[in-house]
Amino acid sequence: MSIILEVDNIHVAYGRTKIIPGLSFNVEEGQVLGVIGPNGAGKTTLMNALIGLVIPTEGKIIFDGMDITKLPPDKRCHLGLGRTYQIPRPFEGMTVYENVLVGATHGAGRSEHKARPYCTEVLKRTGLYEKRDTLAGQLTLLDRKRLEIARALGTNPKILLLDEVAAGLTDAEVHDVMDLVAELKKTGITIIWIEHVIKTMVESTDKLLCLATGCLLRYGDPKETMNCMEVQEVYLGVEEE
Amino acid sequence: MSDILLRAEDIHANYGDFQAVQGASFEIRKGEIISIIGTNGAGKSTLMKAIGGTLTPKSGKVFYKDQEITGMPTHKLVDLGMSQVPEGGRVFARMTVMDNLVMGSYTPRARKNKDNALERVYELFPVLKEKANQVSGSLSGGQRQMVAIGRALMSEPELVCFDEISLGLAPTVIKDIYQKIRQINKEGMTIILVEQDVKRSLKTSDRSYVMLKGKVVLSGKSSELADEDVKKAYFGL
Repeated sequence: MSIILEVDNIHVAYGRTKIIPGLSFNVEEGQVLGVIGPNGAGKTTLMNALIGLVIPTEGKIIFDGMDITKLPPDKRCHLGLGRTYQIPRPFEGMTVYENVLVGATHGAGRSEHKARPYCTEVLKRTGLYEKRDTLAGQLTLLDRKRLEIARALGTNPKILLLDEVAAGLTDAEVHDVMDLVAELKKTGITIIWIEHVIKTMVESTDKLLCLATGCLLRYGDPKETMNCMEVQEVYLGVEEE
Repeated sequence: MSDILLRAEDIHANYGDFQAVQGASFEIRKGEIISIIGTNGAGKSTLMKAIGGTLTPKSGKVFYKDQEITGMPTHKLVDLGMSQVPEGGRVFARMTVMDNLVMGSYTPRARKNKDNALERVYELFPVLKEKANQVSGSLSGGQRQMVAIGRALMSEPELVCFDEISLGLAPTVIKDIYQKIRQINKEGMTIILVEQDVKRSLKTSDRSYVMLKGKVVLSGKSSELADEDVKKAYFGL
């Protein structure tokens, strides 16, 4: 399988506070990669660096063979990097369909005419087609999370970054999200998924990456990652004398 | 009256329709230390907010000394004897150490005893006496945490909830603070520890509750909980 994303020794800091002091890993095309780590591990900062909200002070990010390290978010979106946010903030006064259309036109740079059939397809894929005329502000949390994914898909990404899409949902709803991700994977899209619910991560990802204090602690098979002593220690603490 | 000081029954708590706590129960007896542990996002802090009056539970009930206190505002809970050390300390940064502490004895009940309480806090944390007139914002993270603990103690509580007290502190400072927590417990204080540092809180507490996705999935005597069971419950695997 080919490498679609290459993170090469990136350093990220907010002012003088170094969050990521050198991080490298590759993502294979078509895989679902899970990112876990305790509070302050640098997960969100990594996401922000990938999407262009923060520019690394050192290192490179290569996407689909192109150096995107210093590109702004909109350019990255055009190239095929889409993301969802932890707290969905749809345009509440617009319908579900219109929300996705915004992503498909402004995000992907399509004309409205060309974007329309694509939006319909995205809505069907995310299970929102029946609710396409509902105002986004009237959706349940689960459907807002679906819409968050649909909006990102509207931009026709090659890589979809998911930020805690399972948070705040019931167990049954989490399974719905897991099913949706499994369906999306079948379309060949690459997914990078940050989530705290370890069980969901182990069951839904091809590879699991554990971060701690901005460094890569373990990257590999999800079960093996969770069995790793160092990973367990960053979560559970270390036995004292 | 039973020796149960606080009892939370089947608490559900939401932020809008974000379901952070999805049915959690626990109780604490007088003089106990219990720990509530779980990964980030497990609902620990929300559960504390729901029993501490900063967030009204969607359903479920909270009792303090057999009196129902569900949804009661925080200042009334402080007057009843329940005090909190919030995550990150949250001291008044522009106020002096002493003024921060005095703010803790704001309720009429505590105000009468303010001077004694202040003496006690200074005995527990001598460094706060040295820095009494310094603004709190200029203190180290550990010292700010001490101010937050001292402020909570100033209301002369029977029960104190500590939310993520070790977050962001150096290991030696954490050790120090935990030693003080044991000390105030020995003096009779009932304590709830909300922690991500599982090993430390298991070692410190009498009983523990492990939370996962808004629910309590394991509970028992801390000394009797098997490592494997805690791991399983914590990670949900």
